[in-house]
Amino acid sequence: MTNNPDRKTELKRLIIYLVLAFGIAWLPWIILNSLYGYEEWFTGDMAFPFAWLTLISGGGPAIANVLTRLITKEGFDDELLRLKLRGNVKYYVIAVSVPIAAGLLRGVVLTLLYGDINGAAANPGLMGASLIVQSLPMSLVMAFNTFGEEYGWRGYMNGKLGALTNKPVTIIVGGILWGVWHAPLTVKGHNFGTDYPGFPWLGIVMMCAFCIMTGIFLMWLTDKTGSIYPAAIAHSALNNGSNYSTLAVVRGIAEDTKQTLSMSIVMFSLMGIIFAVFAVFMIKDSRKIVNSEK
Amino acid sequence: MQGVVYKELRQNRVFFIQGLLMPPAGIIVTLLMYAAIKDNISAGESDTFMMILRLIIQTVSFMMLWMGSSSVFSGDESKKWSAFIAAAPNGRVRHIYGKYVFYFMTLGAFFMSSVFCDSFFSWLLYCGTGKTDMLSFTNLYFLMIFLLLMMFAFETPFAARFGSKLGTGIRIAVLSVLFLAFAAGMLFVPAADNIADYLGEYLTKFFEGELSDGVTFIISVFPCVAMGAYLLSYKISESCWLKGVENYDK
Repeated sequence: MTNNPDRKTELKRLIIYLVLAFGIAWLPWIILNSLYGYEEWFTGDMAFPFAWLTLISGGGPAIANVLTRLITKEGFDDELLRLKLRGNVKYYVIAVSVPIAAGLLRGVVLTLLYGDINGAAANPGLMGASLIVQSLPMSLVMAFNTFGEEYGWRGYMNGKLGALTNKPVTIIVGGILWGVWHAPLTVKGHNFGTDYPGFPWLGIVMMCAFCIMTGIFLMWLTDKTGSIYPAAIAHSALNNGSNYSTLAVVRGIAEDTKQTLSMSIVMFSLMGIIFAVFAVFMIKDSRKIVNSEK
Repeated sequence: MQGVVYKELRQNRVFFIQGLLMPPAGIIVTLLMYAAIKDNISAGESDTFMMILRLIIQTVSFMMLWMGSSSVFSGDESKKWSAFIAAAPNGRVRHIYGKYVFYFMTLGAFFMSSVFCDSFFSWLLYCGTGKTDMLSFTNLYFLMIFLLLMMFAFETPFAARFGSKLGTGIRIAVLSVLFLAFAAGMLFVPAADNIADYLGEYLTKFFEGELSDGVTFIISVFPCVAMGAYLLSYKISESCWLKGVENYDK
């Protein structure tokens, strides 16, 4: 294993990784979309019978990481697989609490803009409390699932991009790649539905923007801890815990209300403001490193 | 790879692999048992029977994982090894830390394997019969994982302080108490043949989210309580492990 591979080698590894990560996910998604329709196999009656395939395809980035290392003989000296809890507990706490807090804030903002503060709670009383309480253990356990993505994106792709370019470009290009990776589902309405102007291309653009913003937070966690697990936990908290906490507080919005484009933009902007804080932290950390090297 | 967690993974790989492979083994056993007796079941009862069979097999898998957890401590019950690790920088802390992290990882792997296998089984059912309405047990697995976490949290300080033999003894005692409680509970059910209906009704409400708000809240709080107990157990084990070393045979 070479300790300092050249840029050409890193680019080759990145391309192999991307072909595998996209292939492992896109092939089954496109085939199933064609055979059964997204509504049926992802969210409908077939969702449970095909959940095993969803788990494999969702873990495509991690599988691609392992396969790329085997194909290119890169080796597995991977410090990112260590928990590194010592001195980093606060980052693990941030990983789970920021998405849950963002979910609560999202529920309040949605209520103020689209609901009714005096209206009926979607999940009143103990049900709402149950959802908030469940957020934490659900985020931790489902992190075993989101590890499948994070070990690929933050665990491999960001490292290769970082070797080829600077951090801002890594975040933007990484986010775009991650967003485009969701495209076979986005174009079927997975992220924003199908009823918006510019469907499906605007949806793909918005997904890329969301992945760029989220990537800032996840990359900050990975850089701070040197471990992939906080990012996996945060990703799980964004997928599950954050939605639970939103549902716990939202009022005056019917459960079957479809997500509109303006709702998506509002929620994006909110997450964008929160994650911009972490972008500032990253810039400050970079400057500290540059100053200390001088 | 380095570190105490990696050492635990290497040393207890059989236990970890057991956690990964028990769910698929459960599917095979379920299919074989169903194939053996399906001719004796009416068409209307086959779905219920399949659900009960899956539940029993999966409960047995969880019990086996629970019983196997004693190996996590017993493998290191040696005075020489304990003296070596205690002399290492932060050795005592890292020794116990590795075991708790490894056990949590094994439970996570078991959970994911169970969810995967459940879905795969549902797909097999779809391929064989065209049915897509098989019930998902994911919520139940989620709770059972935290139940195992709670049991480990309860037993492990005893194993750390007094040796894994006592930990196993406590496990058997807890099983006996649970069995007696179940037997005593049966005394209050009006008739034995209503138990299946009663349990079936309760489980259906659980899976379809129709339990009362209070019961749902208690069930929701339990995983958090289990995690808190796990952390507390880690601290207790860490503080009393060195005294427990005195009890090792060699």
